[in-house]
Amino acid sequence: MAGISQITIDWQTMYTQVDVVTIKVIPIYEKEKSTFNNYAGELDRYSSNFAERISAVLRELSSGDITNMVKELTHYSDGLHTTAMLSEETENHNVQSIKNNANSVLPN
Amino acid sequence: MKDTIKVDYNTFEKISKELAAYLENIDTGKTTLDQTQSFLDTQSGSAVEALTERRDEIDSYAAAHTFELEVLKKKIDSTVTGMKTLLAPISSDATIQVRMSSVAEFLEEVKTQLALAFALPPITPTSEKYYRIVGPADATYRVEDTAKYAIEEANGDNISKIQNKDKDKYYDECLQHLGKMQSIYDNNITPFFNLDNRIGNEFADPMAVPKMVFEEFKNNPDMLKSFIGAQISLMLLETNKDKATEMEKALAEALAATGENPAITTNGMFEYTFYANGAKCSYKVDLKAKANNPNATGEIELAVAGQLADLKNALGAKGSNFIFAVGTDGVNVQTTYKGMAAAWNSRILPTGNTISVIFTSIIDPETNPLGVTTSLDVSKQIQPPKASSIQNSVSVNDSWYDETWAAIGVSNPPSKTALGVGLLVGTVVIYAAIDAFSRAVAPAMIIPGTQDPSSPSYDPLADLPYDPNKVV
Repeated sequence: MAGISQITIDWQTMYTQVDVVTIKVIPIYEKEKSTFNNYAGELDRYSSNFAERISAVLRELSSGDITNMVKELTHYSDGLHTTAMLSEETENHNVQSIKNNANSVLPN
Repeated sequence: MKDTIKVDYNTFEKISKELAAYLENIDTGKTTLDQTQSFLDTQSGSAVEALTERRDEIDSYAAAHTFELEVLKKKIDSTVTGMKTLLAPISSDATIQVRMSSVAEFLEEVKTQLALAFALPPITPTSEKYYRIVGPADATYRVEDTAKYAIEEANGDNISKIQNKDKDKYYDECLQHLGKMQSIYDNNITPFFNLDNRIGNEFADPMAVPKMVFEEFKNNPDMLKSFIGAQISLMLLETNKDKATEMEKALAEALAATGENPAITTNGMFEYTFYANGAKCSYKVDLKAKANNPNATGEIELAVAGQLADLKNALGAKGSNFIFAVGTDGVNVQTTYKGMAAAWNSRILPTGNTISVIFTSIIDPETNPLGVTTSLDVSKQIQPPKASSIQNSVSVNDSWYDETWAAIGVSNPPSKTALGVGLLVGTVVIYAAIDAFSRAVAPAMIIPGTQDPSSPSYDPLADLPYDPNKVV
């Protein structure tokens, strides 16, 4: 990265912040997909038009852009985790991983 | 339309709560990221830069998708409330099941049976007498049975009374009950099925969410402001931030620093910048083009052709779901974002601090008009630029600069600012050198003459170190 001549990271604070992010963000992703899919399956047993359509929307939610956004949150927290644990020498590799992750979840 | 509806309201209420929790979690995630960002701001490093960049993306995704979730939750809530108002199970945790044709058949059956039950033939008094046998089976021994006649007569009177008086009363009473049942069918059951059908069709429509968002916009200008801000944030994030030159960044800073920042640049462009929901919005107008437009009004037009064309190219290259179609007049903007905003054309007319956004349906303007005008006062949205927001400047096409350098073999040219400063400094240095030379060195090189310049016979050519008349 051009323009960066000095790397300064407060590891201890980083660890503290990573805990915050990891705890609060990751459970959202783990939960939302199964929750929405469960509800979609439950709604399938009903005979209402409303239920059928909401079921489809929930399936869309669990596989579409919302999920991508949650993945973003997750990757961000993963990035913090990884950054905190890696040494300066391997940071470039870490940066590349973050960018690759970003590309993989950007909308197509 | 369905004939049978089986539905458990509790499931939808649970979904609504999950959506609310999900929205809250997104908000919590954003808050957490804010806290983390304040820490990252004190750090430096490539990974920190990359993480900060990702954080901007997350913020924009969250802002845009939160709308969809909020709209979905609101729709579910209003639908469940509406359906429960029409028909609800006695036990709140039970599943309700209604078959419309069965109810209709039942009503018809009741109506028919009631009509049959009360369609008794009229009774006419008879003069026929009753007899009883008092001896051998011979008519000679029969006597008139007046007691039985009295009983039959009393029964006849009762039946006649029922026929002529009570029958109508009870029939009317039954019809009233039937009317109540019919009323429930007409006012609750039919609307219940219609509502279910309508909501089902709404969600089946690929434009369902845009239409719902649009309805929200009509009633909630703040939501529209936020939406525009979030959408523009996404546009900016999707473009290549690095394309913005140093000069453009400086220009953006200069514009923003003026507060009320409309400015006319040297190339005749009117530029107006404001911040909506933290997103920088820049509008440019080619005043020359405007002068040539005989239909131009006093309003400022949004000249987006060049700007959005750049965005379109940038996004098209990324395979994004954004689609920008710029109208031939350079004013109408058709925006598609993941199927969300495709329901309308937006015609944006900024005037002073007010932006008028005129939406018209692009689905079927004749049969499905969605036209509405919403005006926003964005004066409160004008904020001092943040260092990071400057990075979001919309870039203009400056490829000629790089191409020119590339033509002479320079693949990594200096920035325009650096080049300009370099040329300026170089020019000053050269001028200073010439001046110093003329003052210090040149006088020492002058060969003194041998004549007195004040003498009448002074010949300036005689002292020259060469013969001016000599032909070489």
